[in-house]
Amino acid sequence: MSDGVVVQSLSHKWERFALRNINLSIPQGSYFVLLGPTGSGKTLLLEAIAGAYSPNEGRIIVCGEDVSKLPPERRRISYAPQNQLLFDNMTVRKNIEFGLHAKGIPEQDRKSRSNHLMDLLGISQLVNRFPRNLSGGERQRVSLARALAVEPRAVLLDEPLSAVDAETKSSILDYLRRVHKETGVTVIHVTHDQLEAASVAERIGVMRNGRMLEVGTPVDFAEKSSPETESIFKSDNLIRGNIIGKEAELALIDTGAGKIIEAITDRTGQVMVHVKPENVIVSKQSVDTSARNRFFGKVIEVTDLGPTIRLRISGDTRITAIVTRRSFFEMQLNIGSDVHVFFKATSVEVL
Amino acid sequence: MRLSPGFPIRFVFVLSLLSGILFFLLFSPVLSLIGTSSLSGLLLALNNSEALSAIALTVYTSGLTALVAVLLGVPLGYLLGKYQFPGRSLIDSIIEIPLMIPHTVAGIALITIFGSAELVGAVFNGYGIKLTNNVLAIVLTLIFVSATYTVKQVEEAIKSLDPKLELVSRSLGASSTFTFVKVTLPNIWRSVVTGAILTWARASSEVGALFIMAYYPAVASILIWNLYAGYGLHESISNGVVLSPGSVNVAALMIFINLAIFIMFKLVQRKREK
Repeated sequence: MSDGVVVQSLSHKWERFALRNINLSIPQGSYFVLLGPTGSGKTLLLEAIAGAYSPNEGRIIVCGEDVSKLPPERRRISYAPQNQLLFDNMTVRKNIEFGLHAKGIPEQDRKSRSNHLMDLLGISQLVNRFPRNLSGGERQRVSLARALAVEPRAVLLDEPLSAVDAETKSSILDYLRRVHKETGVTVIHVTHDQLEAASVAERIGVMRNGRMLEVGTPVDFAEKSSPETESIFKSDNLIRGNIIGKEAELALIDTGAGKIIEAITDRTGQVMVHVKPENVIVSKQSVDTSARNRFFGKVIEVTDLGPTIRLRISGDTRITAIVTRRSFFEMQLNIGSDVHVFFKATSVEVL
Repeated sequence: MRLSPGFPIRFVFVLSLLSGILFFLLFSPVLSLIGTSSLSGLLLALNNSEALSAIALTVYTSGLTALVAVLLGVPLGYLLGKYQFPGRSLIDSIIEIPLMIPHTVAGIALITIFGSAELVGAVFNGYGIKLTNNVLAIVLTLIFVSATYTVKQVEEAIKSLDPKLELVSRSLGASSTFTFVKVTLPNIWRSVVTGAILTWARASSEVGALFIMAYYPAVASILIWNLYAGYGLHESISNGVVLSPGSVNVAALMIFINLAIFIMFKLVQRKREK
């Protein structure tokens, strides 16, 4: 696969912050997520790629062309900032067609391109509305359409889910997946939320303090996170699976080794699933409960978190549970204890 | 109106009292001026060619000043608001000087450079262009005393604009100029209009510097002073010849015309907001 966006030894110093020796190679057409806590420098890296400033050192290469010295308008990289920054003085259509208008594309072509994108993103009904009358999710989709309309070599998305509620989040994630699949554009998506990252990314770059700590697939991070990235990408109960069918409203997710997790979702194909360790119930006996998912395993690690205790349980699949200190002692749990674990289908997040 | 239980009635009463004093000081002279003028006096002023041409000259020159302030002040305000560069705060302070010096001092300062024997004045004089006592001189003077308002308004508007807005536009392939016209300007035009109104209002009120730079042709403020100094407040007619239409009448007329222009601006502004 040819390289879409390459960052070579990029360094830049500000008064109180610096990006240090960042190297990155993002294949053309792939979905890349920059993950890191607030203040890790991910937005600044995104702005360097967009051309907001010229880095002190290093190069940025897009589709084989060194763009380090080019102004933003000649890089063909669309930037969609965190607060969208739609053009308030223009309708939704004018917003989406803005870049095409700037390039002198004839009206007929502009229209057919914007119509197609509005269709793809489900915003056709907003065509003549002004940005001030749109909801957070609608604004985000307009911003996305505006970025895609110019057929850029890459799209930069800064925290695209920051301004929307939980329900809208999953629908926007669906749109992002769909749009990426349809257009095949290279996407660089910035977020601080590891579940969001695991949900859409083909590859993830984890940043902290202006450095790129590690780059890998979501599965890489879920299965063997390093001590350095553990605090940013918590791999607890993040499991790769494949949706193999449906049974009475419940999706059956094959996690390998023949173990099935039941969950509620409309998704199909490859997915990542996540269960909060607080939602896992631990028992010494096998008991009948309403929980759809049950596993058997051995406690292999015990960590004291103060009021709670974290148990890592190895068996059919690796599960982490968090129990209260009181339960831990009453149940006389310890390393090597045999336990049954349960979690409800409704507490499984399908990413 | 029912007051909510949390309404601080005594506090608001004291504030209202103090506000009332200021409001009286601001409004009573205007009201009294209009009251002192008479309908017949206003008609007299309206029929006086000297008064009419002075008022027209004021409207024309201050309008021209506002236009020049927008054409040259928007670029300067943009640069000051957008970029950090060495000497930025020095320039920022320098453009505020005209607002802080007495008007006669401004006139003296202007004459030391635009006077026919002085640095710039002499050069223009060589081409037969005088920079004192003509319309050009009036506009030069008015720009000096009033353009800062436009620059400051634009500068503040640019500062409050998210710099990423222009980055978004340029990342979509729009040039800096296209971005400025289609994205930046529509976001700051309200401040541009406000700056232009302030500049225009300040320009039409100038008299001190004009005494020195352009005593004639007389704008309204100078004519009003001449009428007051020569004939007092009221009209003066001798043997059917109008010696003075009355400084108070010309002044009242000036207020009505300025108010009309101001209201017109506001209406246009409100219409564009819809």
